[in-house]
Amino acid sequence: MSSGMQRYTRRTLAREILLILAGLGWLFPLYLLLLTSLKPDSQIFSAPTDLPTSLDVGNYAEAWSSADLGRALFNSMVITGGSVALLIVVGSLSAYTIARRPGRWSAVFYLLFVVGIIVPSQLGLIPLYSMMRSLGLVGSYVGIILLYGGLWIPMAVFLYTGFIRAMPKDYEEAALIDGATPFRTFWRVIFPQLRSVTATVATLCGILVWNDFFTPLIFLSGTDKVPLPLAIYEFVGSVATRWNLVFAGILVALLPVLILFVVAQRQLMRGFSGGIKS
Amino acid sequence: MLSGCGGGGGTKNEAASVAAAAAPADSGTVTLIAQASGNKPEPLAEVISSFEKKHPDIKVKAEYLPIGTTYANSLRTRLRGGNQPDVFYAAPGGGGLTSLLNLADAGLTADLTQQSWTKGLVDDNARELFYKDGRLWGVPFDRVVVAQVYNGAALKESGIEIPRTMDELLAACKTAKKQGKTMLALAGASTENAGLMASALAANYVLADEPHFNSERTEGKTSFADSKGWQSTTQAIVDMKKAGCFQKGAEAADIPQAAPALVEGKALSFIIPTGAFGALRGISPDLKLEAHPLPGVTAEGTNLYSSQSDALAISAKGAKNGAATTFLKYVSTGGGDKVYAEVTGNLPLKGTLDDPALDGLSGILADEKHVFPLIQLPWPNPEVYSELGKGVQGLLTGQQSPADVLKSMDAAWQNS
Amino acid sequence: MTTTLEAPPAAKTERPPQGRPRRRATAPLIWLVPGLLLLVTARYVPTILGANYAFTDWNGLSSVYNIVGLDNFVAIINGQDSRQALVNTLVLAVTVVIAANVLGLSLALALDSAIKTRNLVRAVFFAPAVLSPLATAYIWRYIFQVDGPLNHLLGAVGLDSWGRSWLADPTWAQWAVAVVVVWQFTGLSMIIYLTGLQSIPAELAEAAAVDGAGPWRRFRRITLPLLAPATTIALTLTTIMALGIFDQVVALTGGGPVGKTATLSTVMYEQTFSLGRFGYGTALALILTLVITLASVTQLLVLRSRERQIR
Repeated sequence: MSSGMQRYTRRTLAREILLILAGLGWLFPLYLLLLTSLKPDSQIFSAPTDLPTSLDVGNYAEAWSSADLGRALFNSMVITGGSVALLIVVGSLSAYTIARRPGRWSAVFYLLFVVGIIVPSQLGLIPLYSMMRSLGLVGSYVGIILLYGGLWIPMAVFLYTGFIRAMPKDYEEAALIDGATPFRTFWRVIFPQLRSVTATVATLCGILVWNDFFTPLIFLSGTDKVPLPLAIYEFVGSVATRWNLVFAGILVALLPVLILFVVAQRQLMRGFSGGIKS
Repeated sequence: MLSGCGGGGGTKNEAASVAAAAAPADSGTVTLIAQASGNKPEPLAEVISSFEKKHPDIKVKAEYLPIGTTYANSLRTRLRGGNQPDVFYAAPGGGGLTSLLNLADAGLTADLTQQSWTKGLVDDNARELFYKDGRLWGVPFDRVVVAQVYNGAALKESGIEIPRTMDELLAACKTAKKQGKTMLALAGASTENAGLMASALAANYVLADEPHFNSERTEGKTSFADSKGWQSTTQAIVDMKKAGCFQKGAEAADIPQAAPALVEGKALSFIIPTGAFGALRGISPDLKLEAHPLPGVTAEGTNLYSSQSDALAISAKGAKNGAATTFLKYVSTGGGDKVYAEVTGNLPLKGTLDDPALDGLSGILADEKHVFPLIQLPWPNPEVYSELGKGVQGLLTGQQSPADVLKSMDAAWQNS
Repeated sequence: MTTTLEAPPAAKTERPPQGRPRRRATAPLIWLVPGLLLLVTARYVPTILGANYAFTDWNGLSSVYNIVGLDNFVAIINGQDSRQALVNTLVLAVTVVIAANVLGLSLALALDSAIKTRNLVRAVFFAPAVLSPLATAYIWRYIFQVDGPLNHLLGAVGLDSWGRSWLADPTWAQWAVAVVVVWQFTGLSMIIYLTGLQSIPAELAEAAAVDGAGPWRRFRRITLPLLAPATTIALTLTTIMALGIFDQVVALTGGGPVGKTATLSTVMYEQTFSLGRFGYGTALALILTLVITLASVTQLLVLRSRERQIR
């Protein structure tokens, strides 16, 4: 509760200590991840919580090359970047049109988008697989980016529409009176004002796409376009007993999100709790 | 087994035929996809480089995809959706996603019957796995042998004699356990490995008394649940578990977790195809392997699986590419099979291999009455075998009784 | 999948005074085309096709297939694997939703402004929610394995006999999976509750405290009712996510031992892509879709009507 000053009593202190201890316990798996990833081969069968006798950074190099993580990292960035860009452009345009054209049609279209949030995607995946197969889009960047576009466009439109509806129309009307085309107005005047909701859409959809395993498993398995989760999956299958190596690979794969988390955790939390009135 | 080589059939059929496969050509590029073997380098890559030495004007571009679902779906996607490879790996028989005859049914493989060099290539006991409607849809390039493979050094250290009967095996399990080792490594969480062990047991328990089990099952004259042999097979797994034959945590282990137990000598043996020699030696080059048949109830009743269990096929696109035919011809009749066998530990199509690890099998391999193709190859769908593999796990955790496992296999047989 | 059904965050600026004469349209309708195209081709058409394939015996390979009516559904009901997967999915979802929400709400309440390290602790608990479910589940697989950290820990405190192969144990495997999922979901429900708490005026609680209401009474009478919108979202969201669990199961158990931890999603994947039964697989997906839709819509309706009563 956003109360003002509360007194810091001994009970508060006890609560604080308890929370910190619980937090440490919560991160224990991540601590094990780091610890094990640094152990040399000779130590992988020793007690799990033993400290490494020597720091073996070589695990990282080996995981990087044998899991082809560089390639996977590049693929993840292309796929996530492409999908997020598509969602931002298409989502904001659609939402703007819906929000600024009151009337029956835009209400119908809005409903169509919102229902897309509720309808689970699983049922469509198998037919999508065969549709994309016949279009030759299975195993391509374009295919999976379009797929993610379709998967998350309801969410993007929903977030953008709510935001735009609450925005004043002054600037855009002024711009239109000045004779700017609608697109120019949108791009120069409206879009910059959407910065905060764009950040929400980007972080939320970006994380969901980045972490997704199921869709690439179906659409990208066995190609050279596999993103990080799939690369890790295939890597674990080949070296499952060498946990030091597996964990080095996993840590590398988690690193981009961990960094993003440290840099922009507030933005991320807002993205994930984005739907609630604040 | 067949030994004759393409004698009778070299007629002028080829010219008149509508066969899709083109005449062998001397130059060009061939694309190939196959499942990755886990060996580095890929055994097929060795075959390809020796082929390219003999045919310098042909280049083979190969891709190796992760084994299992990934390979299966990539193959099907590419055969269906354009971007076809000229040549691809297929599993002989029908039923599976990469099964040769399934793909042939869907019109995705080229008919190779008219190629004179394919005559006599396929063993009699494997004919139904490569031929359908009297036509040949792919060629074999190795012979897979399933054996109980020992870590020679660890075995010697334990002082245990190689068991010749099931009773001796169970006794050996107890001895090994007392020494803090286990007789067998088992990847109980891998349907492939667990299924293979059960299948190897079935070679002894089922095929000894019911050699025609599969055809009788197809005709509905018997079922897994009704078969004495299958009842004994599943019971044997329970007995082996009780005797402490498997390592601790076997029910949760994957192949990459179980294999090192053999290499490190914690487990004395592992039931695997001899084709896995390459991968095991890859983990530890000094490993001394010894392959023996998994013992039957009696020494005389011991059977062995040895069959042509891998195939290469040509796609519709490859059918127009003469170089693809040249490559296949080399692989199965030009020495490619020997190169493949030497790298993997599988047997070549003709003759045997000069590998001391295989000495323990030479006797039984010469004894045709006791050599069978893998029992699961002609099963109508992959689910039956998958139920068998899961069943091993169920028997180990006590979730299933032998009768439960057989019932679920019969149920899976109906799904096709 | 993250779904939010409330009105999205409003722009900070105030609405301008109404009554200004409306000018021309600022956005041509054609701007909707790309969005609708994506939506319809990637969501609606495949979903409808999927509902259609569920009544066929299509094998994914041949271009011909037969309409088999309800055969796939009969097979699912009679098939031990699928029926067990349905039960597993429901049990897992209920467990996870309750545990993640109780934990998340408790954390949100405990992390009030008196806690000096609240931002850090909040971030710590939220972190698993943004990390790859597949990758983090592998860490847990290591923790749970027979010679892994958990059994070591039990051994160290003299509880050797409790040690087991957690992920292959017919009794424990499903709870082990649930623990991993709860670990991932708790942070998410926590921040939803935190956001909800921030919108509750502090004066209300203070006034109640002055009136002499104890903490539990204040929580029951004031906090919980005012948290209703956040509760609706947290419950619905975690339910939808929990019903579709796939990654964690694949990484931890592959569905074993003998289907004990298989979910509708894993069985659907296995049937479709490992066994080539596309018709059967889509029938399973249709059931999963119905379960998710039914659960989320029911929850929304019930919780929304409670929200209204409270107001």
